Amino acid sequence: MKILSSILVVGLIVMGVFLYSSKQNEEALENSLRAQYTNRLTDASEKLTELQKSVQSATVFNDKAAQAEPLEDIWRLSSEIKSDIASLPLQQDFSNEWMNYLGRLGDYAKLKSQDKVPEDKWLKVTTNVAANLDEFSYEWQNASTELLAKQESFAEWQKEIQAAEPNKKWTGMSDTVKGYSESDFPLTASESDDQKKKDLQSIEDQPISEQQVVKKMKDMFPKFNNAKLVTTSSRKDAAYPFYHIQFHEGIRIGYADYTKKGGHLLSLLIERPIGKDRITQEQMKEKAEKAVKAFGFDDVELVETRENHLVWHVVFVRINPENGARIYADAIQLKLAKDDGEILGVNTMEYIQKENLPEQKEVTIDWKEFFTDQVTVETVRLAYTENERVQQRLCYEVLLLKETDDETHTFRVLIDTETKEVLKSEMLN
Amino acid sequence: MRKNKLLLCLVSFSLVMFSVSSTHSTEAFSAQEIELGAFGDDVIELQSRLQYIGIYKNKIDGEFGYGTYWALRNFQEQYGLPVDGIAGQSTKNKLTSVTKYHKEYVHNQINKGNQFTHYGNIPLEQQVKKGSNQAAKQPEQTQLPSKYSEQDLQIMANAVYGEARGEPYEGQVAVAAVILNRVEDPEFPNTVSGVIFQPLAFTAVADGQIWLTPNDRAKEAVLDALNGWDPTENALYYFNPDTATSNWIWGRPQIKTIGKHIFCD
Repeated sequence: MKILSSILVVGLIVMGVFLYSSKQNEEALENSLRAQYTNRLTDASEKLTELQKSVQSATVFNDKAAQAEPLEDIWRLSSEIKSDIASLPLQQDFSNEWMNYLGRLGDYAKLKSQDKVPEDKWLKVTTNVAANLDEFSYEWQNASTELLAKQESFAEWQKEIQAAEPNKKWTGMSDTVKGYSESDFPLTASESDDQKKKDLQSIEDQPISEQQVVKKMKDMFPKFNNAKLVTTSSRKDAAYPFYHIQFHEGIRIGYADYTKKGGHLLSLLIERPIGKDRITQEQMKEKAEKAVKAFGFDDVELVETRENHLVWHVVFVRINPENGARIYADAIQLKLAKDDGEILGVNTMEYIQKENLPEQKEVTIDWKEFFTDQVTVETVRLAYTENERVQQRLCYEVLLLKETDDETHTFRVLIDTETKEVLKSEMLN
Repeated sequence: MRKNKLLLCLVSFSLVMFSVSSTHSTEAFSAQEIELGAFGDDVIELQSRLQYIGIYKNKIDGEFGYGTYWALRNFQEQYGLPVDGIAGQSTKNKLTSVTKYHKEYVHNQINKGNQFTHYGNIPLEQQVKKGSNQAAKQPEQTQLPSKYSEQDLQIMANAVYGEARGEPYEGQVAVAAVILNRVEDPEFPNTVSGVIFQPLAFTAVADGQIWLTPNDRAKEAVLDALNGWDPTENALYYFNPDTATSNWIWGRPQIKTIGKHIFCD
């Protein structure tokens, strides 16, 4: 009996020590997190004050050199505050709106530093931004101070942020910033176009019925003629209506989405086990090209293949028939099984709506002057890509090779054919 | 009798020679053509052989990228072959005849994660960089679109596995797509890790399930999302209607239901 009691007592002591130590660890972690959050919150507040000053300074100078520093500060500070906000547990809607506003402000300052914003427009916008930031910083100080004051219990902070009914101070600030975004940085026409493309709202084809879409799917993918299908409609809030078809046939399970207007395939994915056989890359390319033609996408060209563990991912892009240029924004992705080349995925979301292409001059560029002696121009072709204002531009797509004694590097550079502006530059693997 | 013995010897000799020569040809490359975008042992051999004669200077990693492409074209040009950057049979035959391939050495170094080269004019033991021996790392069996990294794939696979491992494949691709849609959206951080670790953004981060080891299915799902698939049709949020308590999330415009998740804008 005595031995049993002793074991019980020792057991209780060990458990007590363990619980105490766990509690201590938990508190240490909580304190460390609290310190980090407090640091980020005060950092964001200090930087907001600096940002206010920089925006005010940017409206003072006419001289380009003098204006450079505040513009760089706006770009840097807005990015840093955005990073602070992203790492803080704040009310979601407010975080989103505030990060959006800061991103737009930073981008605008960068465009101005590149002389892409007219002076009068810049002055008008920054005057508004300066006034809005003055007003906003007062609300921010109020709300963040209150949040910090509540930290005698860290759990309170968490509770408030995750509450079903969010604090009105933060929702109020969210509405305020949303208003600023709309007034200070309204979407440009091309940004709206981009959004429209993304949303596929502007398709004007006639709606098709559920039976028609199922028939269309079976015509495109005859393998699923006898598959078990479940077709549902997108929810009422979806930006564009579509049918969602889930199917199951033997070892294959998959889904396909089709737009309700016109019955355009948006995407299809199939999951099935992949065998150990391997078709060659050449056979795979033939199958991919045959498939896109069979689907009726006959204005595209295969531009990229990527071999992965079990499948090939293949990219096609639309070709402008007038000048043979690649339109990278109008892309189709295919996924093929490595064992027999079966099409396991099609994604045509970007392809459905054609990009609006500009009429554009093609100025001759002397590549020897444009690039250094360290690189050689391997190929030049025409391609479209978007600029910072989300407008499609015709470009020279140049593949450059840089060889040293130890390594070779390949660069892909897209240069506007009219303005000679470099719109994209990347190093390829 | 003596004639028979001689004949037997000749036949045996021919058979041995034939088997030696056929062993030599099967050891080199598989039968398939390889070109830009390919991956695997054939590419490792191609890069090793091109490096043996000093034409290929980059890392031997089994990935047929542009470094391999230009080197192969140079080789074809130097040896009077059609210059197409594709390793077909005639190119492979020529390569095999003018180079050596120390397969065991190359694969050993790759498996050990060593930095190494395979030049023909330097003793092999001098071509392994001292002190470069890191954790053993097989070449990755994935090739990603250029704007994403292996780290993105890894951390997204963790997030997808932590958030949606019980969901259908489509639902796992959908969770990965939401992460990528957020990266592109100005209202969210602009990196994959920034989005995933944004406080309170994902339950799996809050409850530590993100640190579970993801399975191959989750990785495949992420790979599809990185390659452009988005079963959510541009959603930025999702929630489980059985467990969601926030009124705010119920107020978001809903797009589609996949498995147990409702995806919204």
